Amino acid sequence: MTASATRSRVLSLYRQLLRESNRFDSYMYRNYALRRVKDSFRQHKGITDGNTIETLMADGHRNLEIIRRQTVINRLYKSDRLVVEDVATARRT
Amino acid sequence: MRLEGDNLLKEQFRDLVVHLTAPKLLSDWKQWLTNPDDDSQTKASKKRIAPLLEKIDQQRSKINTLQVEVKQYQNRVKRLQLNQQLRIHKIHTSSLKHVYRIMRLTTRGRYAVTALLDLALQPPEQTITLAEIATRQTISVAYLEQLFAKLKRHGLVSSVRGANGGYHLARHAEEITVLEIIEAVNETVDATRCDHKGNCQNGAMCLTHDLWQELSLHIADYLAKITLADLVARDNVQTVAVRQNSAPLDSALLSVTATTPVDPQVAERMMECLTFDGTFGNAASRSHAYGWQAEEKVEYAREQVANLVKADPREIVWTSGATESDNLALKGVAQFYGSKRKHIITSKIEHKAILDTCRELEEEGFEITYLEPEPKTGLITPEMVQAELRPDTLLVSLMMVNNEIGTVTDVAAIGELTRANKTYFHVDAAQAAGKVEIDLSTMKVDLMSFSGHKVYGPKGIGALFVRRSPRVRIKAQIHGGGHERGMRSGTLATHQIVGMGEAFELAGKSLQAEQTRLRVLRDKLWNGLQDLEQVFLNGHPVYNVANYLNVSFNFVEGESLMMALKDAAVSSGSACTSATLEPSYVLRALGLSDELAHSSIRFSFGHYTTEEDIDHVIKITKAAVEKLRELSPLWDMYKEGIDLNSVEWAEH
Repeated sequence: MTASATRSRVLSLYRQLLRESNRFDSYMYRNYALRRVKDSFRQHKGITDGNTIETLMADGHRNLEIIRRQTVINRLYKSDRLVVEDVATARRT
Repeated sequence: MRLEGDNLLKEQFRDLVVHLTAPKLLSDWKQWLTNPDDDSQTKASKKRIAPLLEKIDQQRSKINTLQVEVKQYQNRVKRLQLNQQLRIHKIHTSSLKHVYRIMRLTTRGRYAVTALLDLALQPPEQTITLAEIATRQTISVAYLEQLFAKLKRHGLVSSVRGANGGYHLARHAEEITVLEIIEAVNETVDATRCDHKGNCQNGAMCLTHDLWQELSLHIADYLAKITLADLVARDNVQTVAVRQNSAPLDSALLSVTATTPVDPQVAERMMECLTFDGTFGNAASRSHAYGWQAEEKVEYAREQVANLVKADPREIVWTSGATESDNLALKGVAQFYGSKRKHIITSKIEHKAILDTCRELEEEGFEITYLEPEPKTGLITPEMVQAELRPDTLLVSLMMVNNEIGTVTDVAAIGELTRANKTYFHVDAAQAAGKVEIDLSTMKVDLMSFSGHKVYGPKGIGALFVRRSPRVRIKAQIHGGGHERGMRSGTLATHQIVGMGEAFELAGKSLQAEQTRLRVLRDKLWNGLQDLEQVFLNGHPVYNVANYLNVSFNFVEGESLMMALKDAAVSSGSACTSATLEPSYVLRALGLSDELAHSSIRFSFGHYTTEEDIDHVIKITKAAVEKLRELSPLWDMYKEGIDLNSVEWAEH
């Protein structure tokens, strides 16, 4: 595959992961998932070897499925909001 | 009426005008008009004008009477209209007898209004369950059910079935009046007096009957005008709203050493092992596919655990938790090798699982030495161990990372000493796995306990590492079938094991990054707390894990500080000792005075701690400590410079 095709695939996976992670209802899991996704993509930014990229992409897709399933479950079993959530949203607005 | 009077006046004026067209009369009239008291007028002119003036006066008086009558008429009309309105309301309140009752505010009416007001205060698209209303307004759910059945029948609320079910207002809050609500629950608008209820005995009305009648009329009228929207807008209802907002919110979890929530990835893997379409089989069944699948998963998890600590998978024994692993290690070694050697070394700051087991072993005839940790830092140095090692020392049991103060023991160095002395070395690594690099291929550790739920795995699972070369033999504590190479019998809980394995693997992948991140957060918290005076760090400043921060605030009572910090689920002491009122034995062993030990707080961080959590905790801790110190007389004395140790406290 050409480099640009790979790049677009990686970016699309990144976008999908971020979008799905944002759908967590629980403050803790949402922040954790977003942070891990961003950190791991940043960590593997400079890799050029095609095989490694494929393994990492497969890993990423597997995690995407996991996040999809877990967001559904998380929304089914909702819990009360955390104290810090109000602080965080207040700061953002 | 006025119109008639006007017409009359106009007529008269017209007559006058007709009369006045006679020029002489006109000039005379004009003169009279301008200066009526002028006596220069001739008698003749006066005579001519006099009848006109008379007529004018008559007309004026007539007009006045007419105007008075008009006013009276208008008043009557107004009263009639008011009565008409009230009559309409009377019909609205479904029967006249309600108005002739007198107002009594019954519990049923009051609760109905309160419950509907609660609904009105919620965002309109949300459906509220009765349980929520019950907790918020402290009304029993059964009572609410009765009320809501009636309210539903009258069309005031509508219900939604299903998972997110509940009730919401059927009409807008502005359309529901209080009178409607009270009547929907079959209450009458009664006042407190007049038991005769409009039918006075002896055939004659009592003297105050009219008064009560008027009163109930007015009350019914008033209640019919107040809607839920009005109530919501009033100031005194804001207290209800505020109470709702301070309903118990979950605290930001800053006590992750006691336990951790299970990671979603781990939960995923575990779910695959529970139901029929997953691997639910018994890993010990060797005769069918279900068993083989389960065994595969168990062995894979064993590898995952072994890989984190660089051990051989055959050296891992599954137990029900670190407590059982500790028990198995200590008792197993003591019972196997304990006939000749009877000395065991441990420390004063071990976990209760070790200390209580050692106490048991003491009763069986073993001699236990409890090492004193370094004061304030809690470090157990190899020199201390060396000092106590004897030829007949059977076992040294220390923990790698202390769960209260976070100090890390130099296990590698102590391992060298114990191997040289031919003593077995057991390390409790429940808090250490996933936080500190463990390399069992180089460390000379013979037994190591692991726990699943400290690394975002499930509770109720643990492991014990039992070295194969040089071989360590332990006597099984739980018998029945010889599972786990005869060391621990019992059906393996596949889902737990898979969960623990997955948790260990994930922890291993992110160990370094996580530790650096938490180090930053921990430093931020510690620096943030430095603004306060008399704040002491319990634990070693260098040899520690980034996950814990144990701080003592002088001149502040620990339990009250914990209550003030209930927004962050911290703990003073540890979970295993928090049931007692005694200060933590670990802190006492560090040499802290009783007051400092009582006023210590342990903050712990993990995957789910964010910077906002830290900022929030700094803010509320500072506020709480300052507020509590203001209340404290000891703080005042300290501020004045009095040395508290020199004070002779009076005896009572």
